[in-house]
Amino acid sequence: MIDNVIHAALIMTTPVLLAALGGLINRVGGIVNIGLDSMMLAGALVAVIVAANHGNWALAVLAAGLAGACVAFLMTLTITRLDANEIIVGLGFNILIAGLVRFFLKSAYGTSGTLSLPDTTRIPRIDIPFVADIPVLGAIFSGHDVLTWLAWALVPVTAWFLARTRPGLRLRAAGAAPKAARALGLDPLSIRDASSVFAGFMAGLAGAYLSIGVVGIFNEGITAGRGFIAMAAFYFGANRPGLTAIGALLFGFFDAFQIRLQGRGLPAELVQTLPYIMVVVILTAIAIATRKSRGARP
Amino acid sequence: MRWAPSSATSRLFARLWLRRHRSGASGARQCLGILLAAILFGALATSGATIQLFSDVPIEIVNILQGLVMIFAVVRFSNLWKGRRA
Repeated sequence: MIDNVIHAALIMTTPVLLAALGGLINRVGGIVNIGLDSMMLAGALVAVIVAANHGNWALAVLAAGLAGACVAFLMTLTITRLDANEIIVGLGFNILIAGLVRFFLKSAYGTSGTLSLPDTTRIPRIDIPFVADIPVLGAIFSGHDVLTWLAWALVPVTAWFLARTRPGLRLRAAGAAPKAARALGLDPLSIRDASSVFAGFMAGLAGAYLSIGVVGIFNEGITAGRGFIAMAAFYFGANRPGLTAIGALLFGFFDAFQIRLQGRGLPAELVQTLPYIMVVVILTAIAIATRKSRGARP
Repeated sequence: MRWAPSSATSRLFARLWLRRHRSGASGARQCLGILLAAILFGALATSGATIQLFSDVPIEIVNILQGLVMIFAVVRFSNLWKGRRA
């Protein structure tokens, strides 16, 4: 029972964590990426199509990342070069990609909403021989796929990148003080574009994880607002990768918990709202705590 | 139908409207802009099904149009030939 919840929690965390790390990099670079959800959706669709046609999951994951990066590139160009409002453009991309995906499914495959192709290759799970038999450790370390490992490995790597490397510091400069960065001879707009493309790539990977990692089919509602949950995660983390991961993990835990709670007498629709309600509750609690600690100081 | 984004878009349209018509009472102008935008999006949302009934145009076009309108309403194309700014 507890093993199942832990395992499911880690599975639910992975897509949110991947997208949140991308969004964090993007936010440090100066753009709040509302369009993460649309990039996840594009990645999920491309992953299923490539996995079914070529039978190579690595290629499918890569293609999904590239699809997300393409969407992000278009979005970032409108923001940095055409001076558009990032919030409105992000919302616009969410609606546009959702419409395009539905249009594409109907015109190319003749289905409405769900795409299930015959031999879709799934991302293989890595079972570690001896650890798998240990009760709790087995659930934590064994039976996850490459993307989960990648996501957790990227948490310290992102922290190190932002704190210790030259490109990381330049990225922070471009986000915090674009004029100072410009005076140093950097091009803040291009740095922002690069960070957005990275965010799109990560969101595409998250989408691939959802479609060919977890279920093996595509549905137009497959992201279920996880792009927005990822935003909540990196706001929760205040640009720190470790805290962002904890935020993603909290959402993953409640998501796994609500699956367990279903079918125990409570109405399923109400139980499904639990992770989203918890996000609101936690963000509110943090805001109150911050205000109190700020009020305590003179 | 998706109604939620329409209100955001209509506010946006109002701003766009304002940008065009700077002079005059801004409050009244904004109300007019919101009304026009709301009518546009309401017409888009309701006419989609009818158009699909009588032609081969699928109803998904409505979402695509809404997204495109939102994006193109906020971009400033004059930047393209003004050169790069800091």
